[in-house]
Amino acid sequence: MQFLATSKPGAAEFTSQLGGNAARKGNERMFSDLSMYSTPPSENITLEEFERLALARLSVLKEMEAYRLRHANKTEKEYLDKLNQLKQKHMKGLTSSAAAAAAAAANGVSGATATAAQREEDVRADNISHYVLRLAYCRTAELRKWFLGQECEMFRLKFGMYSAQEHEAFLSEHAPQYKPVPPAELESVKEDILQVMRSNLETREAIARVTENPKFYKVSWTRVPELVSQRRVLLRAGWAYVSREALAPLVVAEFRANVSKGLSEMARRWRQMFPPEEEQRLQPLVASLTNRSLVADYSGVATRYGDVSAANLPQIAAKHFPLCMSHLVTQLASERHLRHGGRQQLGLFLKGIGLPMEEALAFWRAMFVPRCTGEAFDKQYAYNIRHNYGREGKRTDYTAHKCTTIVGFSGGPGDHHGCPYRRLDEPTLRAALGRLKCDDRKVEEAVAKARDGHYQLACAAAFEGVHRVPEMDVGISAPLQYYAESRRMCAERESAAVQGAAAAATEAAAAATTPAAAAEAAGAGAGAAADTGQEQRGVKRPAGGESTPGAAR
Amino acid sequence: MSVQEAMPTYYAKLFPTQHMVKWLAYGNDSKHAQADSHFFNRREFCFTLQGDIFVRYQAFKDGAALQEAILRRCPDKIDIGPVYSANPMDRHKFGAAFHPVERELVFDIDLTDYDDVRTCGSGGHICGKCWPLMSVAVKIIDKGLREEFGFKHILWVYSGRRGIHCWVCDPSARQLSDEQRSAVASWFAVYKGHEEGKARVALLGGTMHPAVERAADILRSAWVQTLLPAQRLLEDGPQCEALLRYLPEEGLVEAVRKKWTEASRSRNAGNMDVNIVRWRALEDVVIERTREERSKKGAVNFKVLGPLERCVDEIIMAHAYPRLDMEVSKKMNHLLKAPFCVHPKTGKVCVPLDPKAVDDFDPVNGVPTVTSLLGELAAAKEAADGGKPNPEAWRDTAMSDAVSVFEACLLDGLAASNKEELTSRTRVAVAVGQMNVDF
Repeated sequence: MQFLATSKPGAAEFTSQLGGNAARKGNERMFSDLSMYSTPPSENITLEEFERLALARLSVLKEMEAYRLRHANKTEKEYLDKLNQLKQKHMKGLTSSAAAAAAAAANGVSGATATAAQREEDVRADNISHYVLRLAYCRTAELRKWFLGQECEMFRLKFGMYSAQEHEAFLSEHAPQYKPVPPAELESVKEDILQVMRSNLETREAIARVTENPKFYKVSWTRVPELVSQRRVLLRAGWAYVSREALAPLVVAEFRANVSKGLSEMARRWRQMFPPEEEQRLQPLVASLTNRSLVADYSGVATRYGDVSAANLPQIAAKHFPLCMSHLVTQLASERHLRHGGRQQLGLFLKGIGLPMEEALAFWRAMFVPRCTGEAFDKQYAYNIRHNYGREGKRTDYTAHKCTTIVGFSGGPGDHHGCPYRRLDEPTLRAALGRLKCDDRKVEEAVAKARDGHYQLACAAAFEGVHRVPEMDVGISAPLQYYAESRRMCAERESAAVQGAAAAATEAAAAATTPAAAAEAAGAGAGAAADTGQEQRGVKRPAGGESTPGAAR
Repeated sequence: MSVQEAMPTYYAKLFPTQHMVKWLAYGNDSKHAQADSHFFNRREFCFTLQGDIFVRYQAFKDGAALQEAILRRCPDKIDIGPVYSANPMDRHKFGAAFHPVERELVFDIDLTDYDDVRTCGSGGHICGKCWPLMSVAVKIIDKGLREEFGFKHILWVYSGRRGIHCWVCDPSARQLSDEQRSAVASWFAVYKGHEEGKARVALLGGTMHPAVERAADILRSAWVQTLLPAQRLLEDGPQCEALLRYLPEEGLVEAVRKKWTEASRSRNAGNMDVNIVRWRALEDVVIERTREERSKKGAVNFKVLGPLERCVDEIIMAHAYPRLDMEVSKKMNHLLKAPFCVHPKTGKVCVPLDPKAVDDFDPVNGVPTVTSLLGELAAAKEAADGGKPNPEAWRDTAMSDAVSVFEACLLDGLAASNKEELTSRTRVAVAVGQMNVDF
């Protein structure tokens, strides 16, 4: 791969090769987490690290997106704290050389050197993960748009919190086209700058700030067309004088333009990015990154909570199915029929939750009566069900659809498959969520999210509303995930309920003191009761007061 | 002889094709190693033939080809479009890859847009009384383009009828994106159209942007020196009533009227232009009222003071600030009439004008027409005593002056800039050659 391999033809193997960072410029170390990503990485790394770094960054981006969507009114500082927390959670100690750095620290190398090594490691991880995701997300306009949006947001957040000196240092390193205005020159234009500010009715505070401590940058006016068109800047011979405060959006725009250009450039040359001998191996890996679910595999869910049969299916459906599936079940029950898309979506899901093939046949046969007699059913539909279970035709073991697939489904008026948050109109959606006994406030949240096109977050809101739990970190990414979470939650509550009253009392007390302690207590309790919780990486364990045994009753 | 009949001779003997090509090739017609010989060939020309038939996407290899086409088709009008990514004649071959890549930044100002504030005429009318509106526009935009945006190669042209065009030809201006073009146009757009019978000008607080302030300085002196007396805006009539509507308080209007009646009775009123006398009176009334408001006890009421402080400048700006046809400037691929075209109705030639001498420009009698030029041509031929035909005969006509202005205002300066552009292209080419571009 061209940006990973050096230009030497033989260097395309993905071997771990340390010390590739020696050439990095000293100044960059200052900004371990901020970069314009103008230089692609040029070292060899293992395939495993390649994938791990990409997935880690993807987790940060996705969780940050979800956090922003749910908390629209936090301060910049709070968003940044969240971001740092997510980075800590996903990105720390991931690189193969991180261990080496840690070892160096342990071997009595001075603290400063160790910190420097750690920083360098962070820079490296940041750069590699960015470029791998670029590669994965450059392929369609929609993917590019998402990636670009998330990366820009992250950059904006970090850049905005920098001090004046840091800005100056960063810009001189990464964006030398922004020149600080020397004091003498500034003196000569200061009056005019103040006049521009006054003419734009800027606040007294802003004007005072400029009078006391003027920090201005000079850029070509062509970089700030927006400021020019509103006459919000001073122009002299083609130069625009921009204050440090006004600079941030410009640098972000620059960053956006750079990454955007890089993405489309990469899309154009996508096939050439991979060395021929690695193409077979790498291309599918990179391509799969974008629709990789970041949560654990739910195959285990089929056996964990006891048998699922045609007989107990209705109760399970009422309690644990996400809307896309319960909607299909409802339609199936009233119409005594489902069209192909619906049969596939529901059928594969039922298989996923552990409904054996014989039971599936029994279930569908029963549901199709009286519109379709048993004989006609066997003729028309049974083959397809057996096929889904890998007993017919090419005998593939099909897996249940993920949200990305389901959201993409469209259909005619008689079709009920696809994502209901996308396909149902608002009154119908409200009614359907009401049938799930979803909390009213959460119904509105889900409807609002669906209106904005965040279907998976809408589904997560519904989950929270149905199960009365505090919020989850990410959206729902597969119906099976929803189901598994739901089963786990109920199992936890049941087992917690049967635990001794004494334990309940102490945990309730803990819940009353601090939420964090409560979360820990609940988590610990849950861990002891049902050995789950750990696999589902993306989903926060039920935490807070509501999941304490006291509330579960 | 009608204009149409005169056109073939005009194109054959007078139209300065060579100069036009020299301009639009930007040095790419030279032998320089980095000269792009296909550059001129990617420029769109649009011919308007008789009967308003538009022939778009014409492109020519060189001056000779252009000259040949002009002579053959004898267009009523020639428009200049952008330089495209490929020869416009082959545009179908390229599909989406065919797009404009370069174009002068252009401005178009028409006197028709001033019809509500000019009293001397309307529509296609132009005269010495409304030309000051154009000349002040030239001064403001020209100064802004040079001092604020740093452009150097700016060509101003009288459009042949009732307006002016501006071509900014700096390399950086030619490269501007549509967004950047819009930004320049908006920068100059203080006049924002009409609202409730008044021109809306974008003045916010008591302070003007330095750029607007500079324009206001130019306008303030032009207002009393030429605009006001020429347009007789304060003599009794609808214009005067409309102007008084800009005063923010009813009481002010009364006070101004009272002062005017007093002034008309005073003795020395006869010696001065009534418009000026009335304007000074209006200014006095506003200043007096402003002072009164300011000296009031307690906190200053900016809601009252602001409009008072602004209103005098607002009147001037509303009546005289350049009114750009924004759409022309915003898009790279907007066509604009070429200099040296002949206006089919007036027969006037679209001649370059020197922004430094714009006050002296006379759009009525100072512009050569195709008939006057042909007359001069015939006279010169007679004087030459029927010797052999002179291909440079246009030098004996008023066309010579027009071309001199073209050279002095644009071509001479461009020569150095073209060379620099080509040299910098060399540097880039060398740098790219040395770089081992990998990613």
